[in-house]
Amino acid sequence: MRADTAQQEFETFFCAHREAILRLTFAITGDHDSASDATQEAFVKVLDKWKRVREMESPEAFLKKVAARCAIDHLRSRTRTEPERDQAVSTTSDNVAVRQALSKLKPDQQAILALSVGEGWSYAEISEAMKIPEGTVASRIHAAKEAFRRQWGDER
Amino acid sequence: MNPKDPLDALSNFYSSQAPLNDEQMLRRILEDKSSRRQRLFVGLGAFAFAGVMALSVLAWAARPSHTSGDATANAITRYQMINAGLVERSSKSGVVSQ
Repeated sequence: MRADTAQQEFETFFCAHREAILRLTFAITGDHDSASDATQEAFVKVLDKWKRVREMESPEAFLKKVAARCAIDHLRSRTRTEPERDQAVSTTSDNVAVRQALSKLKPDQQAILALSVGEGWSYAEISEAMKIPEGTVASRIHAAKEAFRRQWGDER
Repeated sequence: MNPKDPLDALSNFYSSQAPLNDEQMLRRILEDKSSRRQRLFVGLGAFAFAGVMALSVLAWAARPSHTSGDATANAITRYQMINAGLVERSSKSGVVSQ
């Protein structure tokens, strides 16, 4: 009976956050399949610890952090084998150029841009999700933006 | 819209992204947990079976050996026969003569 209640709570939690987490993982990975896989992995991990997660002050923040890590792992593994981002995402010329410029950045640079520019995360949140010191986040964001500007210039 | 600033283009890019919604995901997540639990039980069962088998083999290997028991009994009998003068002690161990 109690397990059923916990599962119902999880299902409600899942429905409330599924789209946001898909958007987050998609911003990081840039393709539907990886985003879907990373999102599913994140929810599976949360479900495994659901009894503890539901008691947290912000289960959503924990979920976002786990999802970002899953997406970054996917981005890293995919970049080694298949550097292209999803070609069917958007068709405007700017978006095509952005996608091509992003795909030439390092996975961690793509991820940090997605979290800072795309999702508007704080330095503390990025620090926790990417497991880097908070003081390093600003310089990494700056370096990623500079790298993006250079690639953008090459693409235009 | 044609932003001059690359970071504006980047920001527009992120806000225009719309991932496909996956309606089957929740079912897969719940099935995943269920199947992992089943695999865990199967794994624990296999581990317990292997443990019982290993203990059985150890118990079999450590059982009292009838062969060594017979050898001990023979040695005692031979010792008693030598003491009784029924046989002579041989110069070479293990060989006795009447």
